[in-house]
Amino acid sequence: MSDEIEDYLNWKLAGRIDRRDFLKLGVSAAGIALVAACGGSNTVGPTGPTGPEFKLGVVLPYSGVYAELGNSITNGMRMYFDSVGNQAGNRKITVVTADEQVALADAVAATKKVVEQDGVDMVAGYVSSPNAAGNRNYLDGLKMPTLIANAGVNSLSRAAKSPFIYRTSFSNWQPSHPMGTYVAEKLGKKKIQLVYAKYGAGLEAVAAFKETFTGSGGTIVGPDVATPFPNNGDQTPFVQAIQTDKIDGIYCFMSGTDAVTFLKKAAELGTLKKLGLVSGAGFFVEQDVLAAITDAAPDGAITGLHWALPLANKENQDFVSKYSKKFSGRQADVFAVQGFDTARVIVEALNAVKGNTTNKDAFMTAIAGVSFKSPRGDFKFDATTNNVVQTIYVRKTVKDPKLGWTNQVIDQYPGVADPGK
Amino acid sequence: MLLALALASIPLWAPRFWIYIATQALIFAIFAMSLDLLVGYAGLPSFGHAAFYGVGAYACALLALGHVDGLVPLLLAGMLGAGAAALPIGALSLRTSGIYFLMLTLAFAQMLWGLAVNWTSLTRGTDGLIGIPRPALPGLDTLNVSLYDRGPFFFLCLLVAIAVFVVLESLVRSPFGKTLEGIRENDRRMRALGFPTFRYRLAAFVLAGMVAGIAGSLAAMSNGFATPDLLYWTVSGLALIAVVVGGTRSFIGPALGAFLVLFAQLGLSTYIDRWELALGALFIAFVLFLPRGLVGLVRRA
Repeated sequence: MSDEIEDYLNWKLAGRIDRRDFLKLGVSAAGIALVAACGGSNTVGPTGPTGPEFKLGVVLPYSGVYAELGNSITNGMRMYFDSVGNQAGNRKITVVTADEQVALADAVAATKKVVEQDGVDMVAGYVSSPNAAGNRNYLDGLKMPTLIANAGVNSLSRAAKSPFIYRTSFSNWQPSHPMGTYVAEKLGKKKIQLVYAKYGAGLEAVAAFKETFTGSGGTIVGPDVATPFPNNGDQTPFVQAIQTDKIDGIYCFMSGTDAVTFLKKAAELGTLKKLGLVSGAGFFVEQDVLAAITDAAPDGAITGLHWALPLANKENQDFVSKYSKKFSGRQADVFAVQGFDTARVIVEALNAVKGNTTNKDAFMTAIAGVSFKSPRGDFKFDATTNNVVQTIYVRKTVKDPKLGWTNQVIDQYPGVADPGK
Repeated sequence: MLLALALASIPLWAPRFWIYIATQALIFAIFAMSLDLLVGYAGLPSFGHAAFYGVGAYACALLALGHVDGLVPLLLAGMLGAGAAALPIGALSLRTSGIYFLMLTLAFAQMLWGLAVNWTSLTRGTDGLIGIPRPALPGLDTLNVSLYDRGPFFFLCLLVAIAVFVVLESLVRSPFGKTLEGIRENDRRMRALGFPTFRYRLAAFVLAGMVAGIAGSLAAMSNGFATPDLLYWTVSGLALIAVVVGGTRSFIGPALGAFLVLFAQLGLSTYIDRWELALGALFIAFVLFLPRGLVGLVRRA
């Protein structure tokens, strides 16, 4: 009987768990428990957690432009929680999800729902930077332990950092800052035009690139190509604004569907072929984008990111194969890694405080002290910025005979920490 | 009256989260009522009303961030800011009618949305203005009443909503309101009678914009932020749904509609992935079977 529940669970976990499924599961579990009780053959499993339930509120987008990112992060979290039997520090971990959607108003409502209605012990999630920044004061005011699982807005590691908000993903500065040096010095490309989605993340990323690039003798060729965000319209005028004859290449920040439509259009118009170098923050050619554009991919693009699918370390090989097995062939992406690591931080911190989260300062100290070998390499927090310190990999976009289009690691900058004070 | 009392008791028994939702619904109700002055009474199907909601929110936010902490100046800022935006937009859009008016108002609202996204030095673009403080209440501070608490803020919204309701009701009962309805029914005849119909329409448009601006100010105070999403066409669409579902040509209808839409959005989005689909079905059902909206249902009963 219990195998049936487990099979059902495994099957359901491949997709997104929502409240209806939990209800269904609850009903069938209750029925089975009833049958078991009547039969008088009560089987007691291995000793389960006896402490109070630990409720985790997950606020991620499950609809709108970032739905795929939300699903990947949730899958990653699920995978880690399952691997430890959904418990830590003698407490059962229950996940309550709420839809971050796109607009800040909806993200605020979702946060208030998990905190006030569901009474969670901790909050994790936030894909888009404005939504993380917009919920910051509320979470900080409540002293709610929070992990940001994607949103990269620099200020959360700087002026607006909070002792209760840590980030497991990246700051927008991190992937782009080493790339300026790399492009100017190692690749010797000195004339670059900037291409970016005009919003917080895009502006912060290209600013970090520009700093080291011009510092290494490079020149930014204007005017910048700044697309609206999200760009639901035609990308043609923006692709044509790239001055192919005056530059050595472009540095680009775009993500998700914006990257897909831009790269497709750039391939179609032949712009990519005329460029000596396509470089950028790795989201531009991350696995979700490459899967959508296939052979329109910019062959040989050089990008910086805190992970790459073919990373050779044991943790990553293990993660990538288990992930695709668990989620019926879905390829892992950087967002799934972030979810996986976020769950691990929670579990290790809970274990460290033996499940006692009433002393929030002690719990946050435990979170700050978590470090481990992640699929992305060494993972630890920076005590000054509350942000993850990690290796930034320089990757080259190639068509791998086994993996298809992916990003091969060609160089790395270990221990990159946001410069916040 | 009973409704107001029932609403007023909410902070006494409802959990904190529901006080928040009820506050949001009240603000949305003010917005929907202002739209009904156009859609219901003046017969002007505006699809860009979110423009004034958003402008109101930004005006209030900018002033609050500039260290103005008086409640009245902040509400006035939203109201006048939105009115100032409504005057030129109305003057141009009202040269058309019907579907053209609808498209023009939509276009103007989207232009303002684009402005909010791109004028980064003023609006901080897509990130929006965040960390907007709520106004202080001089004198009441000593009594430990602060607008940062949900109860008092809810009462503030309730008071403003009732005031708006009373003003709008008396407006449509006044000769001005009757003239407006006359223009809706037969513009040519009213002109023949000597009424400057364009000016009447423009006055209604600006008034509706100003009330939407008040709602926008409250929204900025309530959320603590102003983002371009507030001006997006989906907000205008949601308000239109509230007006139609609640019932046009009454102010209690759109207010009820606003509550229904907000609670539906919240309730449905918790249980159904594609909650917009369910809301759409609800909307179609109302248009087909209850063209007079919730109010029509009450009146029939």
